[in-house]
Amino acid sequence: MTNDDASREHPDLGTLVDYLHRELPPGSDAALLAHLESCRPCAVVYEEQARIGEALRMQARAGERELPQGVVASIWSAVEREGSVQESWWERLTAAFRPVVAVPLLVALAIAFFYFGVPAMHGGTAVARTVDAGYLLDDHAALSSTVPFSESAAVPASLEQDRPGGNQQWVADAGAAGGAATH
Amino acid sequence: MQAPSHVSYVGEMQTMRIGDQHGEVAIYRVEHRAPDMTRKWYLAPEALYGDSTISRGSVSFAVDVKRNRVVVSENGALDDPDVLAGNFDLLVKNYRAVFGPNETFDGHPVRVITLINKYTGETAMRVHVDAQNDLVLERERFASNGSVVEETRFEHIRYSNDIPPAVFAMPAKMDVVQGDARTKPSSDVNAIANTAGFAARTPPYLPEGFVPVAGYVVEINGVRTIHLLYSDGIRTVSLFEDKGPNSVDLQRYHPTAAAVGPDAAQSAEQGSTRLLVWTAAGVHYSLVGDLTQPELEKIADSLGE
Repeated sequence: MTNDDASREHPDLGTLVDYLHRELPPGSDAALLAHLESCRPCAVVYEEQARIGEALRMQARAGERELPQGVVASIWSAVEREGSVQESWWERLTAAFRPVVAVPLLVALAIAFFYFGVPAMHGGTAVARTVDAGYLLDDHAALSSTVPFSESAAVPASLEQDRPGGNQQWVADAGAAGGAATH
Repeated sequence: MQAPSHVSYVGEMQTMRIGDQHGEVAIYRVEHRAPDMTRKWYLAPEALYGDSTISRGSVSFAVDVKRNRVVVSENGALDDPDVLAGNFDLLVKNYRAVFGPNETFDGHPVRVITLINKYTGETAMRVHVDAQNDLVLERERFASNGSVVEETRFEHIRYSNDIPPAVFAMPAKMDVVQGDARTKPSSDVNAIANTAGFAARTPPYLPEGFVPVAGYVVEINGVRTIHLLYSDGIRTVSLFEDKGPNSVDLQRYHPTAAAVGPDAAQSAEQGSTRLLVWTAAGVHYSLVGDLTQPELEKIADSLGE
């Protein structure tokens, strides 16, 4: 279709939507603009599509969630405060060196060193572990929450599983290879 | 459905997600105080009766009465308004929106909007939006054959600006357990794949309209795992890859045998979300998403090309 044709013929709905989203090549874009200025029926269809898009955009904006400043920090500081009230660090340290705790701990460390500290003696193979598929479903739902009209699982996995989370450590910055960090 | 930032309400909600073999239904009472505090009290299924979830911004608390614990989780993906806006543009690009005749829903005047896939011409979703405040009161998502795969609707809703903040407080005298703390994702999926520490792959084939939208790297059981999300603005599919000793336990979801090229695979579903798990050349792959089994297998096959 030449530009002249485009300015005379009525575009189909798909072409109008493409025009609305600036997806037409420059020549066709200019021709369609000229057509819309001279063709009232097409202009009405175009305006309706623009109106629908704007209505959806408003809905999506209405659904956006905002993070209150400092909410995460305040929660964790509250959790830490609660822990510190129950037992001071000195009390925890001295408790750790009581014989009833220290002796089994040293035995366990010695066994762990014997088995895992000398990999050549035991083949050095990593221990196979399982990841509950519920963790993958949860993670998929979490990342999908940025998509409009997305829906997480009807039943949250954290209320279904005995052990929440997936023994995961979050890598703070994808660019920082090896830089695993928890919050 | 995402809670709106501009209107507060109290209501009862039903969510139904239908898979090929299994369905998933939940009914909960919901209290939302704008802009970002929501509490859901579960009425069904029976196993969750009395439990609730509280979300405040990107932080959520799962209040598990039977285990006397509160699981605290964070979802960094919700902190990024640019990602939200970009994904909305994707929806408008891939789906044509058509207004239906105005209707009434539970006494509220609503606009009915149908979203039609531009590539297939199939109706993907229909939403009933309150004409006065743009709140989605009902949403149906359809499979390519026209059957309903997901429906979320309010049974009763009452708008209110008098919901006390105490409703959203973390309960006292319960064990506080740290759940997942998800970092803010990156929209540069290729860069994410390059930081995996192994030869991670991105799928050469994706269904029409799908593009990479977000991803991050996580260590699960000490194994570096990448999670890449692809979407067409409504449907989503996640690809997990790792090269370590971890294996995915699907038993809870009644897995069935499948194949990806010459490799044995397992598939399962939770509601309308499907999983496909397999290992090829020492790399573990998992696909999770709202796609059909053949679509998942086609994506999986393309990773081996």
